[in-house]
Amino acid sequence: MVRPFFERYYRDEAGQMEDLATFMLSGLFWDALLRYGEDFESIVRGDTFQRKLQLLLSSVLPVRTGHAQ
Amino acid sequence: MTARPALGIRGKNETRDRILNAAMELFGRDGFDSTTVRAIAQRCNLTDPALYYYYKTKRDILLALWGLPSPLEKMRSTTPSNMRPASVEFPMDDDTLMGLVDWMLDGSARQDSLNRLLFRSVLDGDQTAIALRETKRRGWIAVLTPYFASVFPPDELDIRLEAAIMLSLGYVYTAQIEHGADFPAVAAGLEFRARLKQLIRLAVPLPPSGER
Repeated sequence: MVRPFFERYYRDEAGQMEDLATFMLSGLFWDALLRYGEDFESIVRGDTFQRKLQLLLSSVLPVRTGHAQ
Repeated sequence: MTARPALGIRGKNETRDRILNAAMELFGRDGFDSTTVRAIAQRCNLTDPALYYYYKTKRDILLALWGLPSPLEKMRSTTPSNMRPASVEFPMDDDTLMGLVDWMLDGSARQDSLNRLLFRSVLDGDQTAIALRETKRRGWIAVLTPYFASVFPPDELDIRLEAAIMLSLGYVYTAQIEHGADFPAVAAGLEFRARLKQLIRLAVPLPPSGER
């Protein structure tokens, strides 16, 4: 589902960048589920979690605006 | 009256280990609720009364399992001296970072059954398990922070550390779910390790040595 996005921006690096984002988000959500249990849903919908998610993604995925057509 | 096995201290410790190993295997495979004390006793060739001599309840066995050395403690004791936090006067280089990845994967593989049991209990809402998992989580951060602080400025430290930990967790948990009981063998594979190392290098780009 997200592969076209990665291919558009990262071209030859798409697979690697998709893996990076997928595993990191997977870890983030599993960690939240194990830490917060029944509060998981409210936590991940909250601003703090959303900001953390965005910050993590933007810190590890290099911007490739020049590739987007 | 509970039977009292006629064993010396070493024999009793060995029997406790047998009970805990059997319980860990059965809890991990069938879950805590579905595992009976009798099944644990049979697994380690004990009678029910003999097992009750060592542990009064199934819950006591579970708590004893969680009292075993944590992956972190075991890894600390098996970590090469040049990778211990005391050595962080040297900036973390690529070899050290990759060594930390191997160290984490070795610990995850070695403690696979215990981790499965812990996670299952955490998801069941067991407060002891939740507290233990949080303690381990903080332990990981405490061990890794000095390495990351040796190369990243304070404003970048937290996010690089978080990225490395979340990426590693996601990679390991995905493999544990995908491969089940084969995870330890999978985690020992060079290809499996190389893939994570490549991703870690992307998430944690070390500054050139001259800028550290």
